[in-house]
Amino acid sequence: MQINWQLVIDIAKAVIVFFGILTCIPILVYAERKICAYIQDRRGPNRVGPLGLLQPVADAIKSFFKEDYTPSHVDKVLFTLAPAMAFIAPALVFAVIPFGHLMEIKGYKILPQVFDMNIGILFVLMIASLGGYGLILGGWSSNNKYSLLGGLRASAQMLSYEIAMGLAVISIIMTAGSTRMADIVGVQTQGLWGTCIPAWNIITQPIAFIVFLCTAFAETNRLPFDLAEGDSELIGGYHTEYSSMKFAMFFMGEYLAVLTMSALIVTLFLGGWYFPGITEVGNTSLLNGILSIFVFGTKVGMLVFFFIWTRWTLPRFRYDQLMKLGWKILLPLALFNIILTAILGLR
Amino acid sequence: MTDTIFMVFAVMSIASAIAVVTWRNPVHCVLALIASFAGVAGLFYLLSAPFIAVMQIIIYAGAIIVLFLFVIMLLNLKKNEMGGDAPVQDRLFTVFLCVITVIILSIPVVATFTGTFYDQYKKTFPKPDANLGITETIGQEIFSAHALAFELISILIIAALIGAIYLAKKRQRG
Repeated sequence: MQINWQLVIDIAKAVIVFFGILTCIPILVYAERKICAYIQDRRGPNRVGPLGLLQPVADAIKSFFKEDYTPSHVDKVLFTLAPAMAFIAPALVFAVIPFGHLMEIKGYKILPQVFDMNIGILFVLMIASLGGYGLILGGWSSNNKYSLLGGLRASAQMLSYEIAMGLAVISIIMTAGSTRMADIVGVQTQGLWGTCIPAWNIITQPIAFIVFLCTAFAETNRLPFDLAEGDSELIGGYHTEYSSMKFAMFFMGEYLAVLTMSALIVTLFLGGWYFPGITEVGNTSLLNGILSIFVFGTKVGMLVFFFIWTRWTLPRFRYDQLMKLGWKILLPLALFNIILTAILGLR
Repeated sequence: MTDTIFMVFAVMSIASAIAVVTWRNPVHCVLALIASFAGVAGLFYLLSAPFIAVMQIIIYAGAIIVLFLFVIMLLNLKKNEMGGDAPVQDRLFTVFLCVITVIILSIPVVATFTGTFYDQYKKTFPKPDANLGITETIGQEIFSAHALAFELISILIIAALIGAIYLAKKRQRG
């Protein structure tokens, strides 16, 4: 029987990427706890394993063995479905993110990207627009006032910030002249004004970057925009009634969202896998491919650190401030940026 | 293969559309509506129109349904507040409308299977271009061939926007 190796490679890529991002979650949890501890002048987890490295494992085991309690009068189907939706949506985004340069091994082309979609960036926006449902439905189905308020806040917040995010992405599409993720990275690998400074979109599109960064915090429900959770006002917001593994799914979904948002920002604004002097464009050797994946991972790691750093530095916004920022500042700014991009023809 | 996928999406969109009108819980209905939109988006993708498929999800399933959910959750109706069954004459009228709609919609289907319409269609319309559905083509078409229609729709949307803001604004009593 003839084995279609290209198909095997494609399936292997999907499996490896999925389990790869799953493996990143405990690392993120550990990083968050350690970094927040140092910011607050504490030591953080240091009992379980060397340097507390096994703490995420202990947390996972605890989640598995806790009682999976379902309160009375909840909508059982949606109550179970909501955490799964909150977890799957950010994982799907990773399918279109190019995390390395094309490699060629013994005639087989290995592209470090699960699915090179023609409309990649629109696919990301599509999944982002569906991402809020997990939170909204979790809040509604819990049969709890605080959960319902959390779900309401989540729906209004997602909707408001999605628009500004979409408009920021449009100026990036204008710069790249394509909706393919690979083209968006490709345009950033060129030198700027004939120098060695790479034409990363953070340099050519600073306004879009700021707008996208703000909306990224809102879409991932992280401080300073974690109004849907708002533990000082709403106990736990949408996940008040959740326990055990269902809660852990929401928890993992949040970290997965941070990871995919960081990967997305790297791809859209920080040149993806490209770094001048380390990775070369058009070099399909194995070494260049591995270096490019390493560069991408380093950039994502730095952005994840930024996410955590912000969370433990800034206080939570008030709800009216959140809406004001979204509609009165970010939205006009993003629109202005589109006009600016069109006039200057920034490339 | 394509036929199987088509059947999956078609059954999905029709079954969930039926669920939208028959289920009693508004939140469940809204979720069924999302499934219906997803099925239609899949059909668009099969017709090699990925841009329209994605827009279907972003705009309808993503934005508009969230607004629906927001309103439903804000009202949070109890079972007795949703109203009982409609009077008999209303229900009869609904059945009448449904029958008429089914008859009108089934004309092209029947015509396709009997052959005459399909042959006519194949003669009059050229085979669609494979690049027709991609983003670049749609953008160029909208801003060149259909620029007037595009501008007219923009004006309509702006009018609707201003109207909505006016209605939502607090009336000043003087």
